[in-house]
Amino acid sequence: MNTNYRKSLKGTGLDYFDTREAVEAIQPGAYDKLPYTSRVLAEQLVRRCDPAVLEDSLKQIIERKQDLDFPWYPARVVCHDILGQTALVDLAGLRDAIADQGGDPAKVNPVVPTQLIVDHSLAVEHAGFDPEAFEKNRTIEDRRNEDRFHFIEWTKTAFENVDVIPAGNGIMHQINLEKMSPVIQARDGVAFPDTCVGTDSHTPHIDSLGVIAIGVGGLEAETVMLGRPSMMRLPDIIGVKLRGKRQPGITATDIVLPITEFLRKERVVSSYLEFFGEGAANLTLGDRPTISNMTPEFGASAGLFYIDEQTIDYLKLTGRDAEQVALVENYAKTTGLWADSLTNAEYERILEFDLSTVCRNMAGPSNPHRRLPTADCRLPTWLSVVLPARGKRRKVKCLMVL
Amino acid sequence: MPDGAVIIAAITSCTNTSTPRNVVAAGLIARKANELGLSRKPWVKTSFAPGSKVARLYMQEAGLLPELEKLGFGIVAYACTTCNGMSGALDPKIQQEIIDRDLYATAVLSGNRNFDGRIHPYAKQAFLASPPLVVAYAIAGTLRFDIEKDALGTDKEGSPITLKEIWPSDEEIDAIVAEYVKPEQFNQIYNPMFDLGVVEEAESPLYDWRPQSTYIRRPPYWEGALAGERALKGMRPLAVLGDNITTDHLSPSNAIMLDSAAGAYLHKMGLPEEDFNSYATHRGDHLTAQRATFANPKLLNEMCRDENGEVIQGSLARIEPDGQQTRMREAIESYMARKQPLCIVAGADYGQGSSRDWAAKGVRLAGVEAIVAEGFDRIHRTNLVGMGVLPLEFKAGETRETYSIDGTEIFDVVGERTPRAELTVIMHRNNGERVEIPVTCRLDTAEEVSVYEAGGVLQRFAQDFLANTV
Repeated sequence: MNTNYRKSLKGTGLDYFDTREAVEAIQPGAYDKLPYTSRVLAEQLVRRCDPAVLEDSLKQIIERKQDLDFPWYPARVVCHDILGQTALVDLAGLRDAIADQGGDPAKVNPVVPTQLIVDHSLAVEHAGFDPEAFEKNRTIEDRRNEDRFHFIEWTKTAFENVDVIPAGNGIMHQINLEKMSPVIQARDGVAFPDTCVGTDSHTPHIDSLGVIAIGVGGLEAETVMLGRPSMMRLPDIIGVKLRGKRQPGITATDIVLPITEFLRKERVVSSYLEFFGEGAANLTLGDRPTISNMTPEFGASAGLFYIDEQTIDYLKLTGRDAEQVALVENYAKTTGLWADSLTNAEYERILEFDLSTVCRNMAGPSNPHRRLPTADCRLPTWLSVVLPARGKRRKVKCLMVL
Repeated sequence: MPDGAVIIAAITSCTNTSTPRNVVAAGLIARKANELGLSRKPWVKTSFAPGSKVARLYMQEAGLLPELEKLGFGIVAYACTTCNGMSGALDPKIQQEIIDRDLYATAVLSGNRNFDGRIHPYAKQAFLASPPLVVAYAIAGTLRFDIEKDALGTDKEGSPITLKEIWPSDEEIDAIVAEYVKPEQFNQIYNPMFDLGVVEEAESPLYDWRPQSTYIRRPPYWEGALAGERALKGMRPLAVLGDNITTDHLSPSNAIMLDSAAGAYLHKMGLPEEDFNSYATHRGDHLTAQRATFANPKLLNEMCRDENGEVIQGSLARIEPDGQQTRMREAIESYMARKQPLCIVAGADYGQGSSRDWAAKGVRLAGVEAIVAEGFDRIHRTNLVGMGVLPLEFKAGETRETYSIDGTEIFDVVGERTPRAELTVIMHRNNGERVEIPVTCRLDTAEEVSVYEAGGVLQRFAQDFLANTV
């Protein structure tokens, strides 16, 4: 950890890194124009980056250049039982290799806190009209996956910094949202924004809380677990301004599907999106995660909301303790991560989406960005194109054979 | 069962069940449907799999869980389920009817992906919808239906009931959420779940590998070909490929069939076919997972052509210099036995799709040392480096076609590997001709060079670790 720009965070007994000051020392007036993502990425550079390359790295962010990789040190790694398990198998194999060569295998541990949630292994063999479906499905899951679950349970007892939430407890991203993310971390006397990499493309679910969370491959997760930085190039950061208010009877699902269709068309591949505007502020409690969740369906890497009153309300609702909630508000307001302090943020590109235009929607077939308004389900085109008559299908098949 | 039948209606996925308004709306629409005597169609496999146990508490307290149960949406799991393609088996009678009548069956789910074939092999197409709409489709039972206007049933007086009569108002939803979703419920569920307390320490820091397991096996990164030197000399192409090779081509994820290389292996290991599980679940056992390498039946390896010169689709390869065309797995095993260094030649955007590390592990275990392509997917390229496979990029305008590469050649790589250095691939043709191909070394940073030279991420870590502690 670096020492420059470290200051006391009023009323908390914790310190923080004054990123604004570090940025302004390079270019006065620059911090106010930085998007949310840039502020968070700059903070971890000021806190962790080798001082020899700090200025060059910060300049990438300030001058919005994309010609140099800079390090990213995520605060956590979250995994599910498919890729997370293979990563831990690799680490267990690594221990064997270290032991074979005379090293102490017990010293091989993830240095970044790693949380593994078993959620990918249950098949719905028994449906919801069977009153014992839950117990029966769990029994089958345990039978089929006995070897895997034995290993996963062992990792919890053998590795430091690995927590395991066993099968039957929920979905990784939802538990991350409702419990695991503190939004602002407090470690070793320092407060800093929570960030994570996850071995699943829907990891950006908690971007809805203002936490940069990115889906990565298993090997990249292993790299981060072992304490090496994930090297990143400054991404395209795009502002998505949400206007208007939803119509009565419209759900968060109805909203995210046309947003998916819209953002796909706008080509936001690999970019970091930041949702803002009165529409974003009005989205009711719990609706934002539905939108951030579908970030990979937009084609983007991240889909963030700023921290604001809604974030605080959600943290309170989900039972986070009062001191932690106060820290989130205090830190966000002190360091410019609170929505009000981002009104001057400048984006190379801003897209606008009007929530008041949203009707009841589905998506399909075949693609999540193929929106299908329910009002169109009566159209002859829907019946003929989406669900071709059997005779026609046969004809198509024949044509394909020819 | 009608054509267009909804055979799966699933309230599932973190996408929608982390939004209490959505879950409550599903409960409210179920309550109204029950009041009016509506029910699910018998061919619909209904399920409710919330992403957190908190949903059970607030739905129970609001009296809405029994309403969902009555319509067939009892809780089946707290896991990804249908959204992850784990929809489970259909009722055999329903499945048979779909096959016999060539029915066009569909799934409606509150998830985030609906690619064809992902949700269930017999649900030809899948549709994403909000949880209350999923309930409505379970009642309708078909997609050949005007969900806004057609009658979902009739009330006691015989009048038609349409969606708008059972759709809950925002006020009803908000009132339930305000009254019944509470911080205490989150604490009740999560405090014990995360009270990990003092975890009993494992007896040994080393795992006692189960030799018969097809799921978990000690990884071989310090053994065999992987422990050897990567000389980047005398490499033969395992495959010559076109553009847009995805990680699904390189290492598929879906169900393992008996007639595949992995299926044959699992059969040999004594696993019953119904418990083969998916490729994804076996990625902790390299002996199963490496048999997925290029196992995709849609692969087009340009080295394998029919008598008219057309590329044959399939998991195929041609063993050189013999020229024998075989299944990909047999070619890999034959090359492994000969300790033949390999390479892959490909077109643009090599390795796009899901960020699957086995797409890199699989080729490395097969003995591939370098990949020469017109371009690489971002995440896949980092995975290749992490596995110690050298990514090399053709110069703009040059391709496997401009060099007429047909797979009979032998390749060497020469030059000093520094970030984005210009290296030379020396191609020796069968007729003795020697061609120099300039390429860009796609180790992009000094860190990547250091990882590559060690043999990969884990080897780098092991070397640094031993250097610092022994």
